[in-house]
Amino acid sequence: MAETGSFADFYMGTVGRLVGQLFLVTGDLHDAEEIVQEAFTRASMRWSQLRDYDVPEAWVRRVAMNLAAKLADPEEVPHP
Amino acid sequence: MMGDLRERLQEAAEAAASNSRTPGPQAILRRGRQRRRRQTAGLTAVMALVLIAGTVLSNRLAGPTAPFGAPPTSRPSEVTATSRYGPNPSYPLDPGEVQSPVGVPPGTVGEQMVADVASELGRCRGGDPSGPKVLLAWGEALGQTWLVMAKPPQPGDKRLCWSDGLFEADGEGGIGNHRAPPELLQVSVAKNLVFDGAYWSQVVGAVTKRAARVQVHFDSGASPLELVPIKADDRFPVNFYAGVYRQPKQYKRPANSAVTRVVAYDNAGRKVDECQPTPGPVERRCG
Repeated sequence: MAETGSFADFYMGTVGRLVGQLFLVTGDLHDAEEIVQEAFTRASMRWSQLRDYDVPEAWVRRVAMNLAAKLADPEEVPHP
Repeated sequence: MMGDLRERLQEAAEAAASNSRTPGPQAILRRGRQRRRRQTAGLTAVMALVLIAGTVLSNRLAGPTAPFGAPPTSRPSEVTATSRYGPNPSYPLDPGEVQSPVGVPPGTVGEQMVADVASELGRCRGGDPSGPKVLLAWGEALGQTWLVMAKPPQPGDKRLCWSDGLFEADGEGGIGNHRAPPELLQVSVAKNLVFDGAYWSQVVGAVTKRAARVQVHFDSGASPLELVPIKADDRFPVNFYAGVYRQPKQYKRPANSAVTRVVAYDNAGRKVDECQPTPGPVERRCG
């Protein structure tokens, strides 16, 4: 439960900022929201490691940026 | 000039952040758990399976005559009025219009399950963005509630968007999103569900409308799971199927099942389609 709580705090404290940053990259708010959610989903699966990072937000941002780069690629968007 | 540009970019980012609508952290955690479940068995060695005869879910259009005594659920005989789920503080993403010709799982928890799946389905690129999501089937088995929902495709759509959900009694669970080429066979597997002291797996998928039955084969050589397709209305190019099977008892750890083949047969017993999932990804398209 503590692990869930700390992820929730991390998420609520960073999601808005990351969506804003990805919006500048993608130019599309819906795409930015989708990408950020996917990045946070991946982060939730690794939270036990990420929470010990100095700046876990940087990890999520990097994943989101990579996903944005893939989105710009014409190949099919991967589904969960 | 650079300072001015930086300021404008900052304003644009802040505007996007305040206008964005994202689900709450619990929804993100659920997606992660669901994905972890689906990845659990992808790379393991061959396992044997024990199948329980008759553990089918696909004829559960009316909800459950589930193998483990869940109460049956009534199903309206006609399409009900569409229902709209308003935003929920925990799930700020509005799921939009949801049609439920087969009724919905009971209670507020059941309604939230439907809203969760609809919200995820709404993210799929395909179908009419302002169109409805249709709850095609749901049922109860292994102490869980499963749902299959899809968006009617538009003319020319090359993909069909559909989602399946599997939830525990308190509403916690996972959702799988799928984008299938229409009229092809597709399978998705959720593994290591714990029930009554055993591990189980759920298989769910899309199948051509020509199919009268679906056979799911396993690498152990055990008897295939026979399923009857869930019929979707004429707006959809495919039907769906769902079933559960038990993992072998002799393994001390959760066994990682391996669906080796899914075969669809028509009314005359002729094979009309076949899918051979490869190890790793749980879905495989076939022609």
